[in-house]
Amino acid sequence: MFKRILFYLPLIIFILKCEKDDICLEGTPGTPRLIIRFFDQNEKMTPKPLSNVTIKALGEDEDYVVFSGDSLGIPLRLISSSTIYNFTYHDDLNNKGKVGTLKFNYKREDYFVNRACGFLSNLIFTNPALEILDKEGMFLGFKILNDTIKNENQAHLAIYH
Amino acid sequence: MKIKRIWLFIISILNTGNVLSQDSLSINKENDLKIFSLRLGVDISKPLKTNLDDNFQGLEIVGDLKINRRIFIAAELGSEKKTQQTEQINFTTNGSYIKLGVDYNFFNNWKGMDNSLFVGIRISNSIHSHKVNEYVLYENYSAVDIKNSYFERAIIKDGGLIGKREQINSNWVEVLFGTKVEVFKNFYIGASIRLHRLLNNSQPENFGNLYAPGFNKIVDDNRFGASFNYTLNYRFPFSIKKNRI
Repeated sequence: MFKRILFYLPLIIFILKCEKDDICLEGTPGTPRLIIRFFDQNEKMTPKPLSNVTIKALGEDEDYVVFSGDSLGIPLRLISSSTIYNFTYHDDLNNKGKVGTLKFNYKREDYFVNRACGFLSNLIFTNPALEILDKEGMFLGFKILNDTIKNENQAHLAIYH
Repeated sequence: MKIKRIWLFIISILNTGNVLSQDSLSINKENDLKIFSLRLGVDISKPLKTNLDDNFQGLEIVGDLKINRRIFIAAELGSEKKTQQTEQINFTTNGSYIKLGVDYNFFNNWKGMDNSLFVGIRISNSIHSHKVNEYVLYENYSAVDIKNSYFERAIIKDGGLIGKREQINSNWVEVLFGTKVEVFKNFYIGASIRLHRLLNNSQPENFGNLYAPGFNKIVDDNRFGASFNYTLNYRFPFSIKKNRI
């Protein structure tokens, strides 16, 4: 009887102790990006796409994306409470045209998920949520659709141009 | 809580049963007259680890009380401070634990020897605090066609979630297998391996109970844990004797 325990106990400990690696499973929703939809300034319900706009955050060396479309997802800088993005237009001959500079203001609200993924963050717009920094740009106004950036399922900001 | 009571009940039944049977035996065997002898020791693996690992400080004191040649009431008392870095979080756990239970010695000693090979169970409880030192925010939202980390990784070093969570409580049962061997008169070397099963686990506010002193790592999908100890023990050279009638 005891010899059996003697033999099996280390084995049982070894098996039961087996565990998954501490790797956050792919597909676990992370800290969401900001989703912007672009609408027409005159007909505020009509989406109006941008085309060939290079988007780059102030202070970063690389462009984030060259964007065409009416629905845009961009990350916000999580260690700061605002992020400034430059929108620049490039045509086929590589002529640059200014589109606009946007400053997003928000605060972070972190929460704990689990051991492997750690902490996630919801971003909440502060007032003003968006500053349109250059008056000659093509962005004219905005509307908050969702004041907490909780997921990427719906747009958080509408921008008119 | 309920399970705790059940174990206590089982232990007390075990005890009384054996103490009683000892009574009837000791009439025949005079050399079994010693009934209680106290042995105290220290886990030497923990001070060793304290010296080698900057992120660990720990001490464990062990003790057992011999009821008869089979049954020992045993306990471990320990304290730990450990800083660890998981994939995303750096945190420090600080706290102490108590483990209380019985060992059953199934080794038949030759006359004059006092070694043991035992199985045991413990009910264990720890009170500890977690302090989150820093964490990296998990950013990866969708792995589709977008650069996931455009900005440098956000390492958060201050804010509402950095700091201490006090008064966290974990309790668990352990089954163990171990040995204690007398190397000099009254000095014993002991070792044990233990399997833990978590029972109750309080979760700190906006953090997880990822580690408990004495239990070690707590993971989400497995309530088992394991540990070992390696002890040096001293048996106090006195014992309380039964009255000879």
